[in-house]
Amino acid sequence: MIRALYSAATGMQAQETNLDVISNNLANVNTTGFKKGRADFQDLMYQYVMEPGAPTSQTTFNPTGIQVGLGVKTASVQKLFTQGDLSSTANQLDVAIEGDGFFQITRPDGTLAYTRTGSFRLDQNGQLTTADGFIVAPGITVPPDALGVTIGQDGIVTVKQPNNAVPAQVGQLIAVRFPNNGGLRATGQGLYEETQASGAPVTGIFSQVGFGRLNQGFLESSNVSVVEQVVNMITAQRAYEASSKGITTADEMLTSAINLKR
Amino acid sequence: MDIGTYAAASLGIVQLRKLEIQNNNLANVNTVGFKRQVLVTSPEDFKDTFAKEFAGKDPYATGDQDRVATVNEVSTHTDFSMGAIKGTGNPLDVALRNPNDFFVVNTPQGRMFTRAGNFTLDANGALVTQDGMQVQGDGGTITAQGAGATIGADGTVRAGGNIAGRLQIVRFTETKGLQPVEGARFKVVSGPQPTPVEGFVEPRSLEMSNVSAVTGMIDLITTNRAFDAYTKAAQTIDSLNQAAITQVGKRQ
Repeated sequence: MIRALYSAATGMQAQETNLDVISNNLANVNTTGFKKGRADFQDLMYQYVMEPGAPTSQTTFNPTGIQVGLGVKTASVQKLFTQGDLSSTANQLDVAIEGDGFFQITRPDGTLAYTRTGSFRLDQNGQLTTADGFIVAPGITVPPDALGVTIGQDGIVTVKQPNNAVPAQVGQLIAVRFPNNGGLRATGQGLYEETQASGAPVTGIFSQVGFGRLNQGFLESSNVSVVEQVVNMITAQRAYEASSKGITTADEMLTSAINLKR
Repeated sequence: MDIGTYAAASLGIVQLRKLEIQNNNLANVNTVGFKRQVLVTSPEDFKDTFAKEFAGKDPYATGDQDRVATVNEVSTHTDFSMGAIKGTGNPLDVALRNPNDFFVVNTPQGRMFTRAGNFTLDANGALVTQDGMQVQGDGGTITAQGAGATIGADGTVRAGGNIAGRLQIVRFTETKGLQPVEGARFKVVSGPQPTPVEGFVEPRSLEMSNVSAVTGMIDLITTNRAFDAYTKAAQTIDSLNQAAITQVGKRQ
């Protein structure tokens, strides 16, 4: 069958992926620490029907030849780690990163994951955990008699205890960054995993060179802009329709061709 | 067979080829840096190959009267007009301002050129395209070590407060010799090589595809109708032949 049908079909598939990504972004417009995704497309290989430089007469050559493109593919769906807006919550266990960096999380199976969602809780043992109960590295325990918890810009956690005028330090949050944030694998629950593309994690201290500053009492909102996503949705839908018309046209032309024979 | 049948068939085949190219364009209506392909079949390129052949055998042929325009597909061209510039806010997205400027990408097949500025970093911090090809800087590949990599308006890549390198921008005086390869990239097959220039980029923006869905639809309609017209012509000639076979010489 003619290539036109297949190249138009790749266009529809690509826009389907595009819409999947856009819908997920819109669904997470209110998810703390969510980073929007973006589907990037590339044209597929070109098939040379006639090579450039083919002779058109004894002395002349075709300058460009004939190349027929075979459609489009999704080159990548990357996460864009632009800063989300910080919103004040006044909750002492909410922390937002302003700048680069991730919190390190230990999952129940012992593996490490990374997140920018700083809406932390205390578990029954007083350990600092994520909303899903995963322990925040390096493992910080707040004593049960603590009157207040302070998380500094550098991640140092101090508690105010009765009968003690000086706040006691109970730990320091680890800051982690990657050579390529876009290469991290999103696993859901606001968590990311290291991959070969992200590079090895670099640990450090918040507020120091290369790492963002912590803000206690704030949460980082999703970096999804509804307007941008809706505009993207419109272009995705129109592109999908345009490719579907390409298929209809190819079909109609084939029908005409078949009807040549009576 | 009748010359007209061949003419209609060859014109129809060109329309099929046109449709293939138009559908590839439409599939890439959202591809960053994509440039529209056009099949060029201008009237002066019509060839009279069949007519020549027949004229040579036909003792009664005189001059042009037997010339039949049968089209050989001529060639595909790339329309290098600029696509819309879209602000994305992503610090590693850049769009070129001059329509003859290109970024340089090192691929396993050699040096290639692209206007798709949706770059990213790889595991070592090297600036790469979305499919992992290294982007050429003024002094080799660009490795951005440190946090918050950004690209400025003069193409300078900064990371962690340091300058990691500067994007190499090259300018073509003549884009006719560029051939599309996958990934919105082009290679030089003929004509002059580009020269490096002090190019400027639009930071945090992308040049989108220069395919317009509206003209794409109009092209589809004209291709479809042209094809219908040529098939109708072939059918008409067929009817005439049929009439000749069954009617001419029929005894009353």
